[in-house]
Amino acid sequence: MVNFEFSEDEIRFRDSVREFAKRYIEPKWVEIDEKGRIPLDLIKKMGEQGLFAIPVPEEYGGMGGTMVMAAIAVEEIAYHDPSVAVAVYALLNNGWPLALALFGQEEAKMEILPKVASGDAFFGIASTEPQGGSDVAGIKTVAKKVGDKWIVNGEKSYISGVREIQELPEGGGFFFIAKTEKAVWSHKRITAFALLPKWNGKIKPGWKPTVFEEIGRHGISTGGFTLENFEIEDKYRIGEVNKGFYLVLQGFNIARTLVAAATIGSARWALDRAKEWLTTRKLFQGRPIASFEGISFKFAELYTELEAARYFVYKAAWMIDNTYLTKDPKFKPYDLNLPVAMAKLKAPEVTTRIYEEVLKWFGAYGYTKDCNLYRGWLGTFSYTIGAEGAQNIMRYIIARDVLGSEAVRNVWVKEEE
Amino acid sequence: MVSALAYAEEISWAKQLASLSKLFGDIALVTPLSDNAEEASKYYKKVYVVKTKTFEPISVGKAIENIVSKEGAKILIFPCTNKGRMLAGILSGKLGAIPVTDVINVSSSGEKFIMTKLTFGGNAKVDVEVEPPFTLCISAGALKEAETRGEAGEIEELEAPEPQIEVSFEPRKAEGVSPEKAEVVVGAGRGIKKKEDLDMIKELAKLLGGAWSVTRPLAADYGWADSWIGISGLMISPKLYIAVGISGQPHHMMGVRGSKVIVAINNDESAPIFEESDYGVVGDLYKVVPVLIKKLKERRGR
Amino acid sequence: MKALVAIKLTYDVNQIKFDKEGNPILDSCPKVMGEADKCAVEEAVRLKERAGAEVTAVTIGSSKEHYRILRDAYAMGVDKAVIVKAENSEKLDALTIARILASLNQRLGPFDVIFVGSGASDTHSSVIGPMLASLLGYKLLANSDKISFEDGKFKVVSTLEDGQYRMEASPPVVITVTSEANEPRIPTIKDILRSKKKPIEEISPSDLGIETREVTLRNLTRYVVPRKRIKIDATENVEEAVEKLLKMLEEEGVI
Repeated sequence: MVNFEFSEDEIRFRDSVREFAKRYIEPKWVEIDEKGRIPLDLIKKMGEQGLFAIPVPEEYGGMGGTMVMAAIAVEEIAYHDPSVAVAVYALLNNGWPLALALFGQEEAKMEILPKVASGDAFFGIASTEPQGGSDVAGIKTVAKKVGDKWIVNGEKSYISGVREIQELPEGGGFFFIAKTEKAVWSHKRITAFALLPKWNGKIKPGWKPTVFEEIGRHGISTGGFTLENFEIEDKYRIGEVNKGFYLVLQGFNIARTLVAAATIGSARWALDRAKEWLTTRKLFQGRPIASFEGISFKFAELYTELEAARYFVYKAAWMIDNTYLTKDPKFKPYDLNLPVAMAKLKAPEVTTRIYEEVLKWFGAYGYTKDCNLYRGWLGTFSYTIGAEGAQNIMRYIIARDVLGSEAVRNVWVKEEE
Repeated sequence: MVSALAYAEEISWAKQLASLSKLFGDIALVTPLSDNAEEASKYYKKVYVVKTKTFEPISVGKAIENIVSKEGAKILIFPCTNKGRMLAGILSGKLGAIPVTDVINVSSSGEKFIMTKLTFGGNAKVDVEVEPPFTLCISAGALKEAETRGEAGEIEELEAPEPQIEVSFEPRKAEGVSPEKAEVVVGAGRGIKKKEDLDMIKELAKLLGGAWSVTRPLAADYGWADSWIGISGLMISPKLYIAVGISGQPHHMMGVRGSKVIVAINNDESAPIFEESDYGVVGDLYKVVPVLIKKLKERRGR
Repeated sequence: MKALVAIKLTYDVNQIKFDKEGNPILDSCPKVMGEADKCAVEEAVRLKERAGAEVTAVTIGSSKEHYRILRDAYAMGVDKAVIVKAENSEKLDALTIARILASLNQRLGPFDVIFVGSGASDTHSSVIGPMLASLLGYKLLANSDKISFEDGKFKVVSTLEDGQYRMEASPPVVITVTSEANEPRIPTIKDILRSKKKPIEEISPSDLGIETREVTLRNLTRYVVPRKRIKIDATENVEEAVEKLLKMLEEEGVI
């Protein structure tokens, strides 16, 4: 039978992240959401505190920790920044560096990962394109091998970190996927790379970024970029040619678990605010609002669902640790698809429902900017819409895994090679 | 020969500690201020004035130790202030005595004594049984002032030994009455948004003929004042304490529990301070305080 | 230079709950290293970084959490950790505690400086530091808000009720550190993981020749000063509310 408790080290680590977040993130989160940026010195502080590249092995400059610890860190950060901008910055710089550490080439890992760990460089994901995000096999960006370099042409959209890369001293980039040689619809023609549009302080030619304005989670940027004859050295290729699809999906399993952790951290903040409000606000001759069962029963439901979502998150994180970060793996990578999809389906939805109810309980006050609840609602809503994996794709994965891909498959076109 | 020694720097403390003679028998007072001596001698069998250039606990402790040997006292009583605790600690070490701090009540039980002391940030109290030798630190406002004795006690002056360390002292910039001596104190907390807003706090204190102070964050974190009210700062017991924009954290409340009447002004109905106030005004301090000032001025005018 | 820092496992006073009779529910109350103690460890580690001191952390107790706070001290950077295993550490009287710490000076020291928090977060009696100085015949720099070490001397600033004291002393010295003295460093994940494997020396009070004496405590209950708790609503009519307040205060005779 499993042990359902955090170890002493995990508790001490959680307390240290909590202390850091209380001191440096909580006082600033509203300003970060209002002004639309995370101060660079906060990012650097987070690097110094060891909050990036937590599960990346120490030999690559990472913290030598676990995914469970990364999830703990992301959840605590999200509790203190309910708009989740800082938490998303942290989760991207934990999840995708791990994917690079697992699948990338040694030279690239040694070059990139220490700078991400220190907070000097950003490393996220660039897979979505203007014509489709969920349809990964349908990407149109093409990478052609010329000598020992790859020449890339195409466009990516709705990518987190486009502005941050430009502002960070070192720069950074993305776990990036493109079609090899030609843009046919296929799972077997995708190669993964570490794309570094700004590196060693210099922006490389052929990269043209734009930034979008979103309705929430303002602290971290979302943008797009075009690539025109952009050069990537072969050392930055991640994994074998044409095997990229399978690697990026594994990266998504890692990142989605942390996304779920971020949403539940924010939801926990909303429920804690609700707890205080429902027990102290008195109406109708001195009755606390919680004494109305229509409200307290709803609170009970949402509290239960949030706890359930938490178990999904930490089970998935634990399984990832026992797949990749152990000498004695209990699971294979494909075993992770189902539990991660369930965590990523459940957590953002529960979070959105929690915010909706809590806002109703706060009434007119909840509708004001001053109350700040709306920032958490809009910030986490992006994950219900489906950043880092659409909710319906999660449903598809679960249905396919449980009912069998023969009955459920949705690929009706013969793949070109 | 006396059975107990008390130490006090303020005459009001001296009067309060003297009331313990009912339980302990004759007490001798040790005080650094010769100005206090005559007044204090009305309450004590003997008053020792220990002269120092500046307060330094180890050397004052030595002086007290010498007096203890001379008088044979086995009980030492201090005010529960920072200085009091230091001296209680030093003398406990020297005499092998048990220290009991934050005492709010003393009673006797045969040969022993029962001290009721505060603990857990002032949220709980517990009874401790001790027998001499012991040292006590008495909480502000716990004791009533004693009656004067029939005859004035003897006054003796002596010098404290030279300190082994270098020490220099800068007195707190006295802006009127100090909060520990004032009969009315107005305290400002984090409900106050700007340093300039403290002006209305100062005005309110002045109108009431009292002192003003702040909670720890306003002094230690924001730097808006040199000192603050709380367990690590000033402990006060005025007739009236008005807490403006203060939520009522244990650290602060420990410093004001000795007050006779507490008024709180706060717009958060659920703030813990309302549990510990006599009069709780639920409202916006930026509206309430100016009206309070206006009405006090009107009353004065009459 | 050798430094000792003594830390105490305390109840987190902000999280104490009381049962219906008003007794504190202590079993489920979280225990932590107090704020002033964290500042004391921080000062000791800074002294190590600036002047090469060797820092030993010590606590008195025997529970899992006592070992945890010593590991937390390791995570902050101390060199050695010692636990004095006393089963009944919560009940020991202050004199016994001070005597135990003083005897460590002979066994593990002599220490040039001993850092202690100026007051424990839960009981805040603040007597341990001064008692220790008195038992060892060390100089005392109490309630220090700012601490520095220059030219072989410790220089501190202490803010008391009456004003500011600046003190200077050469070792050996006991320094009690307030929770305003510094911002204690937050251990990183690497610090935490490394601290797991560090050794903790175990000593018993009888090894030190100290007879432990318990203090007899009775009737631990909630303390609430009886207050009138009269609420005046000033959200609508401020004039009326203030008038009400002033009348009541005038009746009390406080203004």
